[in-house]
Parts: sequence; structure tokens; C-alpha cells
Amino acid sequence: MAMLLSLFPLGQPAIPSEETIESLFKDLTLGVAIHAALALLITYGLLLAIRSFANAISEKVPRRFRLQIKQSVPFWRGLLLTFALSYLLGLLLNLTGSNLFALTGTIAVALGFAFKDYVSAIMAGVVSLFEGPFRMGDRIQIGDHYGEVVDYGFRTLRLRTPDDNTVAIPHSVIWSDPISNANSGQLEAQVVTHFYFSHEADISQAVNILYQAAYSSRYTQLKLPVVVVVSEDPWATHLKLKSYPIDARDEFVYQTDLVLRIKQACARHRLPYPRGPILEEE
Amino acid sequence: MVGKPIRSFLEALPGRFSQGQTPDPTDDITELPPALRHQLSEKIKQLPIPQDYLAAVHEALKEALNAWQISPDTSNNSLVVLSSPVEAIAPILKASFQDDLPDYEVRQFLGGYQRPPDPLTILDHLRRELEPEQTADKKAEAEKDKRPTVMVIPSLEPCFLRCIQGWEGIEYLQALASQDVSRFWVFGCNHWAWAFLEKVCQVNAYLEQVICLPELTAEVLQTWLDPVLAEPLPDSPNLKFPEDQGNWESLANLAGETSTLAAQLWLQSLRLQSSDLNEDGAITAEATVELQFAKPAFPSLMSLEALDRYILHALLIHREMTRSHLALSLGEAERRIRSRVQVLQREGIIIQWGRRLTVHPAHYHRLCSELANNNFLIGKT
Repeated sequence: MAMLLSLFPLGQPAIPSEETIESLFKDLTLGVAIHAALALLITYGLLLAIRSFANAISEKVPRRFRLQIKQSVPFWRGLLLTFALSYLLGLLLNLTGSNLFALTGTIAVALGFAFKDYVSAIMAGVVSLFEGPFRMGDRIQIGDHYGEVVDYGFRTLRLRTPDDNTVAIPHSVIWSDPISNANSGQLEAQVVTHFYFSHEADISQAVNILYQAAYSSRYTQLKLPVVVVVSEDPWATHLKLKSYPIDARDEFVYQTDLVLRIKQACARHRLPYPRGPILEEE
Repeated sequence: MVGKPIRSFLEALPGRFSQGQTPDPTDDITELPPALRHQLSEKIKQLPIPQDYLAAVHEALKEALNAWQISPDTSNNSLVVLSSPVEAIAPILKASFQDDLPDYEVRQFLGGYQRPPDPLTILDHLRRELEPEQTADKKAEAEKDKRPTVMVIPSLEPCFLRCIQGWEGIEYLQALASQDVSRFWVFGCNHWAWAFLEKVCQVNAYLEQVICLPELTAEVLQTWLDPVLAEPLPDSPNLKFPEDQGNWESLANLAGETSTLAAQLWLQSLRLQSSDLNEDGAITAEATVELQFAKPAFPSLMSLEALDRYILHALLIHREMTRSHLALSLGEAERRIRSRVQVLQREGIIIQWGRRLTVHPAHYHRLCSELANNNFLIGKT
């Protein structure tokens, strides 16, 4: 407490004096203004170009390289923003030691009042870059939203949902919300397919069918394990088929393929499905 | 560690950005006319199996049989010979057993066997073939012949299809081979099918001894392919090579792993003088035409769609399959795959023998890179 008081003595305003602010800024001439505007324009153009180029290239190259290219986008954008910010600060401000101290105080006060949420989102974006709870191209769930991370912006990330909607989520959600990541930078993400059979069904045969369905599907990543988990519900035997598609993007079409194959085989073997509790009540 | 992905990436680029090598119109050498190429292609099909292949199978078989004879009760009573998916293994195994093994009774099965329209009947077919009814005559004959038996299944590919219950035939064979140690079993298969079967029914746990066909050297390839040009072709002038030919080494480096791939690349690398062709592209020379052997290169691959990759992966695992089997394996209606098969056929990536589709050997190498880079399980390359 004593230390804090020595750094920020009570009664002294955090806002620097008028002279300090005047000495902070360089003279704003037309040339400087044009330079600054050009720098902003070029930065904006390059940010867009990086995004478009990376998206276009990553969708053209083989799958193995897709995520690597996408994951490099935040780095290149961050690098570009750092350069642009340094250039603009050098262009507009007299960056001496005392000026920098004054500037940070000013910015802290201004942002603290006016752009609290905005700054929180930006800071969260930077933190999540280092913490890495997800990366570009990952399939994640935040709150009620599930989808592929298709853009990592300054303030928000964008998810493409399975219904092809794009959801913008501020980075600041990482302060409070849990993030579930399905593939963590890998091409494959586990798909769990649920099946229910009547208690009279030959479950060993059903398990065998589920294994074979996974191994026979063209989408299955054969390099990764396939597992079937059986559990008992009051009204049915519950089978969970856990397997990985070659590409996490195919998860829904993969699940469809599995269900079709399993249903065909079950029909062939006359494996009985359960009569659900609702039906029984009816 | 870092080099491998970069190399794969670079390998993937030419196929993506180059759309084939267009011959320089100012060149005075040109490709062979289609009719001549077809004639040569037919002659290549009639070539005998390369001696190195036969020698490798003989040697491995001899060793395995000796080991089995020393301790016949062990379960080491099988040998699997693996080839590339664009190389037919059945004729190689058949030719390997043409020289008699006098101390053994060799029984070859499933010669010319094709996958039946209903793949669920494969198991019954195999049972019928491998467990014939023991009549009294046959029993007496078997008792008279005390030699150990070698059972040869020249190709495992027709014995399975990638669908539910589609590999029960393989499970039956592996159980039969591991339980019946009184007989020695020889199987032929391709690397991709083997890699698939390892994953789905752990076939390598039952059939331990596995050998791969050897790579062919430049000398072997030259000796093997020379007879194609040695005899004159009907209605064509004599063809001959100049003495100095330095591209056999390149051919062996590129395609030595597979004789069919090497033969196709060699055929595509043959050139002749433009002056030997008339305006219709036919050979005009009356006497001998001197061919040139250009530096061999893999043909470029068209940009593939997702469904193309699944089709080609299925074809490489099964080596050859009908359209209906392909559709069944992919879980698609036949009409939905027909158009892509048509495109791949037009591009020369798929070829059709009767009703069966297979991958053109010349595209095998690029397809390996393409499918590996797209995260597919592939066999040895």
C-alpha cells in the first residue's frame, strides 16, 4: 500500500499538464498528415491482403498445409500492426523517456474511461495468442456457438458455424467463458456417433457393426484409433462410436455416412431398435 | 524433421501449378504417334516378369520354407509378398511357382478370381475353394502324397471390399493360415491393401513374414525392356536406339520400385525425329527409325477434387474394382461417382479393363504425394 502511494501520491492528478502534452506531439504539417494517412491506408490494405491471400492459398494447397498457413495469419498481422504503430508513433510524437511516461498515463486514463471493453478485447486477443486455447482453423465451442475459427481480428474472432453463418465473438470472452477445442491445431477431430439398441439386441454384433462402419467409411482417419463404448440406459443399450475423420471439416458428412452404413447393416441383421420411453407411455 | 514437410509441399506444387509439359513446337524431336505407342504398349504387356522379382520371391520362399520345416509346429507358416498397387502381384507369384518345388506339393488357388457382385459372398467362395469336400479318393491320394503342402493365394485384393463385413474373407484366411500349421501359405497383396488390412483386422499379427518386391536397377530395366524394340513391329519400320543411352539411371531412380511404372515412363520418354513423321503424324521412314530416350518425367496431375481423391484412394487399396463396387465402398450412389470417374478416365488417371477400373501406373508416384499430403493412409512408396 505504501509503495502504491509513493508511485501515485494522493491529490496528484494522473492527467499530465498542458505543456507536457504540447511537447509530446510533433508539429502536424500537411506532409506528416499525408504520410500518416498513407501509412494507415497501406496497413489496412496489407491486413486485408494477408487475410485474403492466406485464405485463398490455404484452400488450394493440400490439407496437410492448410492449417499451418491459416495459423500463421495472426502472427503476420500482428507483425504488420507493430511496424505500422511504431512508424505512426515516430511520425507524430516526440518519443523521449518522460514523454513516453506521460503518454502511457494519458492513454491509460483515456482508454480506461472511454474504451474499456474495446481494450479488454484487444488485450484478451493478445493473451490468447500466447496462451493458445485455439488457433485459426480450429473447431471450437464458445457458449452456444460452435464452428471453425476463420478469422482472428483485432477485437473479435469469427467462427463459421455448420450452418454457414459467421459469428463474431469478442476476444474478451476468454476472461470468463470456457472454450472447448475439438482439434487443437490438428486436421482431425473426434466425432462421437450415438446409437441406441433394444435390450434384446445382440450387442456384440452391434459393436462389431459399429467398428466395421468406422473402418469402412471413406472419411475415417485410419491412422487414429476407433473405439466403441457401451452403456446401459433404462430403456436401451447406448453405443457410442468414437472415431476421427481425415479432415475435421467433414465431421457432419462423416457422421451421416456412418449412420447410413450402420442402419443398412442393422437392417440386414434385424437388430432391434429400442421403443423409447415416450412411445411406451403413448 | 522440418525438411520432410517442406519437401512434400514442394513436391505438391508442380502438380498444382503446372498443367503439363507442352512440347516446344520448334523442337525437332517429337513424341511417338499414338498407333506406334499402342503397339509398343501391347508388346510391353507380353514381356516376361523381371528376373529380379522372381529371384527375390524364390529366395524368400526358400528361406521361409526351410525355417518352417525345421520347426513345423510354430505358427511361422506363411509368407506375404507385397507389391505396388499398380503392379499385378498374381502373375509374379504364378511365375515364381512355375519352377517346380519337388519336395513340396504346390496348390494354387483363386487364379483369375474376381470380386463377386455381392461382396458378402466372398467368404462362402473362399470356404468352398479352400475347404473342398474330402471324398474317399481324395483322402487316399492325400495320404499317399506325404509331401508338405504349399498353399498359394496369389492376390488378396479380390478377397475383400472396404464395406461392412467386406473383409470377413481376409479374417477367414488369416485364421485358416494361423490354425493350420501343417501347410505353408503364400499370399500376394499390394502395400496399400496391406496397410488398410493391418488397421482393420491386424493381419500382420497373423501373417508375420512379409517381403517387398525389390527395386529394379538401371541394368535390369534395360535388359527387361530392350526386347520391346528388338523385334520389328507389324506394318512399322524397324526401331532402334542409339548406342549411348544415359537415361536408364534416371528411369531407375524415378520408377525402379515398380516395373509397370518404369515401363510406362520409358514408353512416354521415347521420342523420334519430327522429320520421320508425315503431315498426318504417321511414320514416313521406310527403313530404320532411330528413337531417342528423353529424360523420363512423371506426367502432371490435374487438380483433384475431394471426391476424386476418395475414388483414387479406394482404387489403389483394391487395385482394381468395378464401378458398382467402387460406389458401394464409397457409400455413394453409382450415378454420383460416374461423372468424376469419367473425368479421371478422360485425364488418363484411371484406365478401364473390361468392367474393372484401375489407376494408370504413370500417375502412381504423384498420387502417392497427393494423397499423403491430404492426410490419407497410404502404403509404402
